[in-house]
Amino acid sequence: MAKKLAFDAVLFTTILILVVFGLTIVYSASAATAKSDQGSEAALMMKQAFAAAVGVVAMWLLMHFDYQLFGRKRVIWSLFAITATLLGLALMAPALNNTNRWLVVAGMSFQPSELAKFAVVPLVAYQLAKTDTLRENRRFVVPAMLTAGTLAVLVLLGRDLGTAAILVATTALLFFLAGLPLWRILAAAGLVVPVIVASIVFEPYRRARWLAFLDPEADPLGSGFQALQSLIAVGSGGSFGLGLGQGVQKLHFLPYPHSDFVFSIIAEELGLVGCLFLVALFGVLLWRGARAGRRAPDPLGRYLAWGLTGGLCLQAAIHVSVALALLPATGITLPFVSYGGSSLVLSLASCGVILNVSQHG
Amino acid sequence: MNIRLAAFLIAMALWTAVISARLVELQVVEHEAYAKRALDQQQKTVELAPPRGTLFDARGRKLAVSVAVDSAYVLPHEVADAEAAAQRIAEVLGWSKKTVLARLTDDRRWLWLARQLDPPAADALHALDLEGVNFVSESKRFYPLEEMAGPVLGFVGTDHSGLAGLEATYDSVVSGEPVRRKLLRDALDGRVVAPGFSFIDAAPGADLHLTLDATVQYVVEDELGRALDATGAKSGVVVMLRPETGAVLAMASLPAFDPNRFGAYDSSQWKNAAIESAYEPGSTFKAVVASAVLDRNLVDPMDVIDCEQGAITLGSTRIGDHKRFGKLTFREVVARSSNVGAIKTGLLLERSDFYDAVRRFGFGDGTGIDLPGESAGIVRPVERWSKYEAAYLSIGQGVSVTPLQLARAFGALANGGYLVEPHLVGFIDRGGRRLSPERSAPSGPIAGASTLRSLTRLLEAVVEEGGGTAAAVAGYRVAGKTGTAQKAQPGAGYFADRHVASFVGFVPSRAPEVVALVILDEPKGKYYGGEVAAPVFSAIMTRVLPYLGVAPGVAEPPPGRFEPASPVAESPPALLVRTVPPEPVEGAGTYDSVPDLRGLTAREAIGELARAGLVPTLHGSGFVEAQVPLPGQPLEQAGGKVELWLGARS
Repeated sequence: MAKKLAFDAVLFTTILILVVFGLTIVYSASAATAKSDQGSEAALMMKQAFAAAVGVVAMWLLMHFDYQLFGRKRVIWSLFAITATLLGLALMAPALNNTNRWLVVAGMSFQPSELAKFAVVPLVAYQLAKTDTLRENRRFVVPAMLTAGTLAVLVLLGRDLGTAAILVATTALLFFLAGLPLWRILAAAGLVVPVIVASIVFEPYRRARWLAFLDPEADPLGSGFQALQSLIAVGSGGSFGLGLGQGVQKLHFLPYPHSDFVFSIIAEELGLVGCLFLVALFGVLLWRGARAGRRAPDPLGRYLAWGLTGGLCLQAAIHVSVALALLPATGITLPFVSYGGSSLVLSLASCGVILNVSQHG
Repeated sequence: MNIRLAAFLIAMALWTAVISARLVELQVVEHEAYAKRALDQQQKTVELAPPRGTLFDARGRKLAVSVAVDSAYVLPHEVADAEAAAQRIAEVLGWSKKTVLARLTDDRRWLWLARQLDPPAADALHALDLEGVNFVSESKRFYPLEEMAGPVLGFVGTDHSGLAGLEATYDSVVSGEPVRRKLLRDALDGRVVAPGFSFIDAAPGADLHLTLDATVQYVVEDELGRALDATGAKSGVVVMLRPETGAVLAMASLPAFDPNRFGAYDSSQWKNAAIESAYEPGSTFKAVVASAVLDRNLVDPMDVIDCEQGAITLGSTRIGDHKRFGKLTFREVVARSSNVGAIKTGLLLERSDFYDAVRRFGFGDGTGIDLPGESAGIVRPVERWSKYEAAYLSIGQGVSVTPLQLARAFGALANGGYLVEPHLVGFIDRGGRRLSPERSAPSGPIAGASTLRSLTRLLEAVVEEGGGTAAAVAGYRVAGKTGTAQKAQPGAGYFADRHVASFVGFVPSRAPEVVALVILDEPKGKYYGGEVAAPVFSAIMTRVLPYLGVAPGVAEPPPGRFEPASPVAESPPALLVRTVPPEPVEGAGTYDSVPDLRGLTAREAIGELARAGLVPTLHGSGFVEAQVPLPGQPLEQAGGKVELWLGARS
């Protein structure tokens, strides 16, 4: 191919805006606690900026490798093996925040579940792309489900239902977009939903979250505290917000203001205008990602672009919905914005792949 | 276009629409309600004890200060194990576990656990390091001298307002602006994270500089306390004033209470008896009667009065003297405190004149002192006087006065006849600006100058030869009056065995610097004012006068000795008084004999001599110790000249 390749500049710009926006909010949301916990107001922001730099390098690298790499059997199975191994190791690591999600190597912490959110897309896309005919890909559905399912179960064992749900949803989305008959998807859902329900009912804190979601005012200082505090943050922000850095709810009223409830802080400090701006950024990401997939020269590129875009946007939609008490608390972070190096690096890596695909349109 | 992709995009668009609608609902429609909720939980209006101004004594010593102490508050929802926490807090504070537990499990988001903790308790509570228990700094009143002058200083309640004493009178001055604070709260640990926030950053109230002198107050309370021990008296009062200004030097009322722990005492013990308790003055009141009769020239000190061998009958009541007196001069009546003599002289007065004299001495009205709760005493209006009212009044019965009223009345006798407004605060210091409290002008004179002069002689006689000799102060001449009153029985009559012993006087009698009243309530055993109260006066003055820098007057020169003992022994060399011209002569020729100048200052002596048309020759400086010719000698004998020896004997 002698044709001069050009990646999607709109998408690229949108991603950079999201990263800068995210660093700003992380600084604002974490300054007060970082000052008391870490000694410097910018402590968390600097870590996040480092992760952003690493992520941008990863994005650049993935933009310039041929995405056909993910069509190679050896690469795909290596990716699966590495992801599954890291998830398994994380299960044995000491618990942090009561969940086994972290691996700490040489002072750097890493969240294998973030890798899983990325890896699940190439794994499933690889299987689906083996044939372009809907009738024929049937026999690849089972391996796809098994690989994705293995990762989901490992994540669930790490007590991270939210990420497991994202893995399942991303897989289901790819199946749906690949044209798998709806009854099959519904049948699969029939298998997965009871598992999720059971995992909620039999886990007290998840059950409490559900009940709190249904009626946060029932226990405003207990299980309903987070949801209620988030609503207060969002509602008190008003149309234009209290101003960057002026939010009060981050001062320990909201748990994890820089990660799980970062959107609430955005809403409080930047108001409706800031929220809609953020939603619009993800809207552009969705539009350009879908466009990149639609214009992709082959099924692999299509499924990679759609799967990764869909995964990022689903996370964003869930995160925002939780902040608005439209969904129960899940612990899903807002891609590009929430504090977390693994998430940021792998979100940018995802975008590298999407941008890579967009070059071929 | 791929239908499945379109379906997904439409689904996401719908989801976005729901999110946007929800955002509008929360941030626009319900914004007000959420904003209010946010403020309600983030802010808490707390009223903190404002730092009050300092109370200083006359020499700048601190009598009441505001110190920063910790107050603990609870965020009950953050208390992890209320039972265990309550147990530990209860041990530290010495409270019942139940009380503590009730606070830790309160429904409110925020409440005080314990206000204004003592530093050790605060440290212990800090050390527990309990979740949900937090501290703020606020100010607490501390009285470093503890019980001293307790009822004068008063105290401050937990609602930050002065409840008694000067703290109450000057509350608005001392407390400054009340500190109401909106705290920005932090849900996790209650720390206030708003930058630059300080709990005690309000301007403190103004400082008060008292006329009261802590050293004098100490001596007074010390001597009064000893007297209570020695006499077994139930309680005692001493008031000491500057007669010229009404400045209160000391005001004691024992038994005392410690305003730091005012809550530990029965409220009756907070009373400042010097102004709140009116009592029947008894014989001390005879000075008032004497002033009235002398001023109207009804009696001369040398007039002889028949004291009827110690008893007089008023209707069915027989009033007796403590001794069977025969014929006494009026001077002796006062000096030896004959009731019969006093009644007989009192009856010389028109009733309205008598009443008028009592009122002019300030009885029946509050003195206007800057303390709360002052009693006006009781003086029955003359229209309602009974048949023998004047007789009883002549011996200080049927009237009730506060100790401060009586001290002020004697102050008027000492200062030339002016009723001054007693006060405790000299000036207010508001951030370096000195403000003087408003005061009403002195009223008077209550009697003419010559009346006061002869009355002073009579009162000197009380101490020098009468019933009050125990009040004498070595080196100083004292004028005063004893009092021994039977206590009135509620209902009617008097207790036979309950007395109020008192002594009131001023010193040095010819140039008074201090007037003081000592009262002992229900002394056991000896109960005469001259026996139990007068010695207290003497003891206090002996210690206080040198401290106050009051130059000693003169003891009587030994008879027949005209040479001063040591006229120049301790005299400063500079004799500035020599250059002072005589006071303008008024009423020249008042004297037909050489006046008694002993105990006067040089300036006063020069003035007196000028009136008599005499020219002094001064030796030394200070107070007149001896004079030639002697007092009472015919003026002609002086030949127009008097030699004076002055000294400042210690």
